[in-house]
Formats: sequence, C-alpha cells, structure tokens
Amino acid sequence: MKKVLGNKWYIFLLSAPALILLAAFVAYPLINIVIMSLQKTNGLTPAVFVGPDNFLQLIRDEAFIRANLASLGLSILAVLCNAVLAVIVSILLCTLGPRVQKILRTAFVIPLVLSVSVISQLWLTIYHADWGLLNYFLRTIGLGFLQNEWLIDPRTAMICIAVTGMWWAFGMDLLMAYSGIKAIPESYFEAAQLDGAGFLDTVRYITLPLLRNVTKTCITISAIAGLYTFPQVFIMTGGGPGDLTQTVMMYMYRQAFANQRYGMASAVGILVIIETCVILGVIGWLFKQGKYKGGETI
Amino acid sequence: MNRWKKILSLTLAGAMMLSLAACGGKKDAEESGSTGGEGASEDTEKVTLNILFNDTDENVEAEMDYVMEHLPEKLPNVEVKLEMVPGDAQTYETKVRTMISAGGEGLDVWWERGGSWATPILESGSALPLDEYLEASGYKDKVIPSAIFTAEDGHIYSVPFNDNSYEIILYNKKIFADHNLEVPKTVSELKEIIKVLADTDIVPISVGAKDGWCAAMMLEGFAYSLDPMITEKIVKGEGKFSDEPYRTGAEIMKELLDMGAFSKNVALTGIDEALPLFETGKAAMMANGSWAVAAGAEKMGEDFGYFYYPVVNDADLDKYGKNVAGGINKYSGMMAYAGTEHPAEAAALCEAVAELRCQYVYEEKGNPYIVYKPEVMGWKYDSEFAEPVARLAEDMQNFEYVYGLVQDVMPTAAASAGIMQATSKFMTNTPDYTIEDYLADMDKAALEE
Repeated sequence: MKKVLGNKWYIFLLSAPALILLAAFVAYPLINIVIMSLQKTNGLTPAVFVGPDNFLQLIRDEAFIRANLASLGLSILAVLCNAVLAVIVSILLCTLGPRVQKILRTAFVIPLVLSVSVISQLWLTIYHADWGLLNYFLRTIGLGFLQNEWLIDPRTAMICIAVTGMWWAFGMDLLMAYSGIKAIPESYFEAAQLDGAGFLDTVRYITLPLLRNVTKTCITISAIAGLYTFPQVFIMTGGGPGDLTQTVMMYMYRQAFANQRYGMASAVGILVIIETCVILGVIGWLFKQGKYKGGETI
Repeated sequence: MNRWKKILSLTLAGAMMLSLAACGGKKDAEESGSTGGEGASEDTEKVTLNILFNDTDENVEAEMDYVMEHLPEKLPNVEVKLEMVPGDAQTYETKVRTMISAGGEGLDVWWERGGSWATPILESGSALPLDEYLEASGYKDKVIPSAIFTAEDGHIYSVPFNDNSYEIILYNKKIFADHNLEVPKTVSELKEIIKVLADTDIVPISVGAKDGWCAAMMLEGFAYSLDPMITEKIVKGEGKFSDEPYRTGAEIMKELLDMGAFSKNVALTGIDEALPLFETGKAAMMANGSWAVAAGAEKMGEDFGYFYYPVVNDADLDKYGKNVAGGINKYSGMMAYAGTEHPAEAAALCEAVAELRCQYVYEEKGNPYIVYKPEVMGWKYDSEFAEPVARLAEDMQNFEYVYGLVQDVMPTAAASAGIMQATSKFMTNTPDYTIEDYLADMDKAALEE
C-alpha cells in the first residue's frame, strides 16, 4: 500500500474518476456561472460581455435587496426555530420515558418523510384566505377577529412561509441532536449524578459541550436551508403576490426563467455563494470561540 | 501482492475508460441511427419526428388525442413521438429553450406560446422558416389573414392554431336573474351589480390574479374604453401606464377591490381555481378571454353568458363592445426547429397539427373562432352553434379596433413578467401599495430590456 501511495501516477490514476466527476459537475458549472455573470445572455442569442454591470444592477435593485433580506431573515429563523429549538427539545425528550420518546420522536419526524410539494399544498389549505383551516379554527374557537389573509398580508406572508419550512425540516435537526445525545456514554451522566449535579448542570457541563459538533452541523444546515428557501415559496405563492414572498432563490429563478436573464441570475448565484461562505465563516468562528482545549475553556 | 495491486489499478482505470466510451458510444449509436433514418426516408420509409406540446388542461389533452389519432391519415410517412409537458407557459417555454440550447436533440416541432417568449427563438435563428413549404401547400388561402405572422426578416415561422380570442367578462345568467340584475354596459352599472352581490355568499367576480395577466386584462378592458390605442402607444414608447386610460383603469380596480368584488384570496388565486369557481356557480362573473366561451357554453348551458368590458364614461355608451383587446398571439402556433433533419416533413407536421386541432374544435366542440376557414377546408358542424358562441362570432366581424392583450404584446419577457407581478401585487389591495406605486412599477416594467 505504501508503495502504491508513494507512486504519484497510481494516486492520479485512482483518483481520476472522482476528479473527472468533480471537474464536470462542480468546477465547470462554477466557472461557467462566473463567466455568465459577466455577460448579458438569454441562453439562445449570442452572449454579450458586460463586465460587472449585472452586479451593479443587482445592488441597485430594491427587489433584490428585499429578497436577500427576506432570505437572511428566514436563515436566522431557521437557526433559532429549527437548530437551537431542536437541541432544546431533544434534551427534554431524553428526560422522558423510552416509550414516550419513541412516540414523540416519530411524530416530529413524520413531516420530514413527506415531500415538500405535499407539505406546501397542505399548508396552503391551512392558510387559504377564503376557506383555510386556520381561519376556520379561529372562527370556531371564538377568535374570529384574528382571521387574516395570511399569505397576502405583507405582515404575515413571509412568516407563514417560514413556518411551513420549519415544520418540514424540524424533524431532521431533532433527529441529529437526539442521536448526538444518545451517543454520549451513559456513564458520564451517572458520574455527574453521583457528584450531585442537577439537570441544568448536567446539560451545561456534559450534554452541550459534547453536542457541540452536532449543534454546529444543525446550525450550518438550517442556516443554509433558510437562505436557500425555494420549493415551498414556488409552490405556495410563486414569490407573489408581486414580490411579497420573494426569497433570493425565487428572485434568481424569476430572473432566469421569467425574465430570460441568465447572466443576471448567475450574478445572483455568485452573490449568494459569497453570502453562504460568509455565513459558514461566522458559524465556524462562533464555534471556535470558547472551544475546549485540554479540559479548559479558552 | 504488488502484481495484484497493479492489476487492480489497471482494472479500475479500464472500467473508467469503458464507462466513458459507453457514454460516447450511445451518442454514436444514436447518430448512426438517425443517419439511417434519413436514408430510410429516401427509401420512403417512415421518418420519426418529435413534437413537444404544452399540456395546459383537459381540453388540450382531448385535442391532442384527436390530432394523434388522425395524423397517420394526413402524414402516412411520418411517425410522431409526442411529449406533453404539463405546467404553465413559463415552465414549458423554459423546457423548449433548454432543448434548443442543448442542440435540439429530441425536438423537431413544438407548440410555441408566442409573444415575448418567441423573440429569442426567432432572434437566435432556432426556428425553421416555413414560407416555401406553406406556399406550396396553399396555406394562405386556408386561414384568415390575421393568422399569418411575418417576422421582421420577412419569413413565416409559425402555424397558429389557437382561437381568435378577445378579453370579455363571462357571467352566470341564472345568478343575474335571481338578483334582478342586467348586463352592465357602463362602469357605474357594474358597480351597482357589485354592491348587490357583495352582500351575498356569491363571489361577484372571479379572477385568477395570481398569474397577473387575468387582472391585467381587466385593467386593459377599462382603459380601452378611454383610449383603445393606449397599449399600442405604450409598446411603441409613445405612452405610459401612468397616462389617463390605465390610471383610470387602476382606480376602478381599486374601487372594485374596496367594494369586495373579488374573493379574499384573489391575489393568490390561479386561473385553475378561478374558472371552477365560476363554472360551479359560486361566482357570478369571471374576467377571462373568449377562448372560454365554447367550453363554458357546453358546460353551463343556458346559464352561460358573456359581455364586453363596460365603458368608463356613460357618454361613451355607443363604444360598448366596439374596441376589444385580443386577437391571435403573435408568433404563437406550431414551430419547427431549424436544425431538424427532416425540414419538409417537420413543416408538413406543423400544418397538419394546426389543421387537425382546428378541425376538432370546430366539428366536435362547436367552436367557430378558429384561424382556418371552414368553408375552404370543407369542415361542417352538424348542430347549431350555442347562442353565446354564435353571437360572439358575429360580434367579431364588427370590432372596430383590435390590438393584442397587454401581457402578450410587451416587447420583452422581463416587461411582461414585470407587469404581471405588479398587477398581482396590486390585487392584494394593501395600503402599502398605492395606485401610484403600481403605475410606477408598470412604467418601469415596460422599459425592461
């Protein structure tokens, strides 16, 4: 094995299939997007090089800024209501009896096994302004004054979209956090109990530190999923009415397929990739702070 | 051991080479197959052509069933592979453009939705000029003059088959009779009707405003009674949406929204939801195009009726039903791919599909708004046309000024999309989005490149 790995030709030969796939399906599209972002093209007529015009136009476009802020808002909400909440719920879940744990765990995971199309249609019937279940429920319990046109009202439309996505994806974060807790050796908790540690101390000094990597993964996935919110918006509102529920991904879709501006859509893609890198950097930095090193917190 | 490692490495590399060769081999095989097909066509063997069609609803499915059943009679030497693509025009046109960008593999003939969708296809030279084929078949004698679209380069690229359609308001005669209502010819009469119906469980006007164009048609309908040339002026850069006709139209729409003329969810109601609302008697009126008249008359029978957009000023009553937006969407119809290996057969297929579709809706569905001349084609409808259908066909002869629907005539896709989005937002009737904001967004959209 050492001899094989010592020969550069063998290494190249063995990694060639993966390298070819990576180049074809990752590197080439990325390079192509960068090139297209500097062009004006509808995909059919010859592309015209326009330099940074697409980016400048985007920065000046209020609709893009609004869509971007909406996506960042969804990203923050997803981190708080999915990742953080999932960690809290899974900690509480582990304090319950095994049977109850099993029932609740299954209940939380059910939305995850449904397709996002089904989920979106389901929530549409809940939010519908004329015959939606939510308004019907409010009327039935005597809170008719709270009825609303949920997906049309600018104050509630984006929140409704966020709830749909969070309800769908919560199960995945919960499963990861729950599995992470279950992977902590039981002896640690027993030792803590013998030392007289209470529930909160056990959570603070054992569960959370040992769940750090899982929590980081949950937060990373939720943040990116929130930023890239698209299918539920596409199915439920199409980004509308107008641009009321337009996320940055929906904006990119509209630029590409409704406006036939592939160059502009590529520029949006580049900006979102940069944003994602910044978000990942911030999450990484936050988790680096206070990292355990040799039993001490630095 | 070392030898085995070498063998393993070579096997892995060989497997990779073979898999790549297999991918390439498939293409080679396809290419050689198609070459054989061409040679076969010379030997009068069947030519295989692919059609892409937008599956918009059950009516289109029935029409295409008929077309596919009768195509072998018209084109015995052509074997047709039909792909029905569900979804809206945007989804469908994206697929068409993607297939063209990918080299047109599996695409010979398709239904082009026309308007601004067709612009990049024509500009890129992706469509086959059909003039010489149509000339040879005597096409120009078979269709009405407005169905012949000559592009800027002087060529004809599409064979239209869609109905000659205009913007109208459908209404339920029974609901009107039950509430002692008369067909409104002025906006003030329309408002009186809304006042009556708004107090009932019936939705006064059903509109699929999620798609934007349905509500934009209403606005255009009102604007037309003030200046029928306003949309054309905007397209030519000689007018604005913020000019008086559309401004008044927007003010009327705002009044109707405030009066409760539409369902609460109107801004997120698609036409697929709005149409059943009307057809099942839950809505008294519906803003739609005349393409829905034949099917509506068949489904609703005696209860079905239609009227034109009421005039804004009572003094203009004599203009009622005279100037109507609509017609045939420019460059819509069957198109053939410029790179098809069988251009003559593809052109013939375009014509055959358009002809058969029109024959079906005329003879089987009693729809006279077709682009072909039935007397020239020898088509006959055995029964009498339903009353609204016959009346509209007669009215069409007396229209004074006709120009395409606002969403169809905008020069770019971005302009059309912008107008539809702004209209959909306007239909939310939120205080944050005023008439001024709406008209400003429309003006901005009209200038989009």
